[in-house]
Amino acid sequence: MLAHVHLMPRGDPAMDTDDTIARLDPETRTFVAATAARRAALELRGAAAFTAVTQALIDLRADPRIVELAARAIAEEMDHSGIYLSVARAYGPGEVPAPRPEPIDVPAYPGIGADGERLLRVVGMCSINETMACSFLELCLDGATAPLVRAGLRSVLADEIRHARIGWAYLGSADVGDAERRLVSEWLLPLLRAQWRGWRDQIATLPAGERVGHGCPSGQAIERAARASVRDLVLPGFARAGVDVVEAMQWFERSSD
Amino acid sequence: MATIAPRSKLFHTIVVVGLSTASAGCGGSEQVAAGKEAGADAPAQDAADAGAEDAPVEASLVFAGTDASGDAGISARRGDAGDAGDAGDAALDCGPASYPGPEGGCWPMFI
Repeated sequence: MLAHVHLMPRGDPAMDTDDTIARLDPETRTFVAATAARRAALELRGAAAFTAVTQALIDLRADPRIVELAARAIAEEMDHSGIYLSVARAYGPGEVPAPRPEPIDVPAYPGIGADGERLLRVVGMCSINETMACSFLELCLDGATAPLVRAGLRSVLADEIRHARIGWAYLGSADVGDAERRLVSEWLLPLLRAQWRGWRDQIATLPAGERVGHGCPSGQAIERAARASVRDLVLPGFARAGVDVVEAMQWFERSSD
Repeated sequence: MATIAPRSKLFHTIVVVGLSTASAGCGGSEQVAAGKEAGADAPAQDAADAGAEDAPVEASLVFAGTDASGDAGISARRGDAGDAGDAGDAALDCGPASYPGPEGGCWPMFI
């Protein structure tokens, strides 16, 4: 039965052929293959994260359509892993093994009660992290010219937009009232700082260089996109949702002077 | 001082649509259904279902209008992420290691 399970079910014809790859220099092929292989593994961590988000939404008795989006996101993140694996195998000179899902450490928010922690998990993963991921993917797609890579990035971005919406949809739902907004307000800065630290740490692990046309921008460009995402999407989004962003904005502005 | 201003296109696609999906006082899950029927979720779905052409994704990121927050007039070009330099390129302060933030690590990133 497993033989019928496909890691890349979209069937996009552009994913099957890309004659431009064969003409690339070996260094570029290796660089893109390594990047795609790394992302294939990281996307599986996203699947694990959405299992936690889905459970949180179920425990919160959230609107079933929001729960459904989260549940679907688990499989979609695995799908993304398959897309990146296909890219890695297309560019790579050798065999690229498929990564396996592994457990992740889910952030804990002590002292706020079970429902508060569930709310912050939804907000932290979706409203913050996935929204920032959309900006990253937009950056990658903006520079990508290679057909195989563009097709893959387009597919991933379309999903990540929905994944980010999960957090905003819950924040905008009738289940979130003044008390919940106060909690998010109190935790917004710690959430942002922790996530930003994670982005910086991961950016620091990227290899030097870039292959913009193949969806691999430089670490500096990724950091600029992430900063812009916080400034232009995340903070305005929380403000629109009725969350107090003053402290977080001061943090952002202090760091931008 | 950095200017906190939403980028219309992606802000609308993600945040505005997201917040309105199951907005308070509008009937809960019924509102989600209404949003889908009205096409509120259509852009991302169109992009997911799209073929090799670029147009659907471009469309998914285009906000062809304004919303009540007055987003009009804010640049909606692709690649606005590069404008982050306007706010200065200094690294955001991650805080001291002992900063009392969330425990157990951050959420996984896919870069």
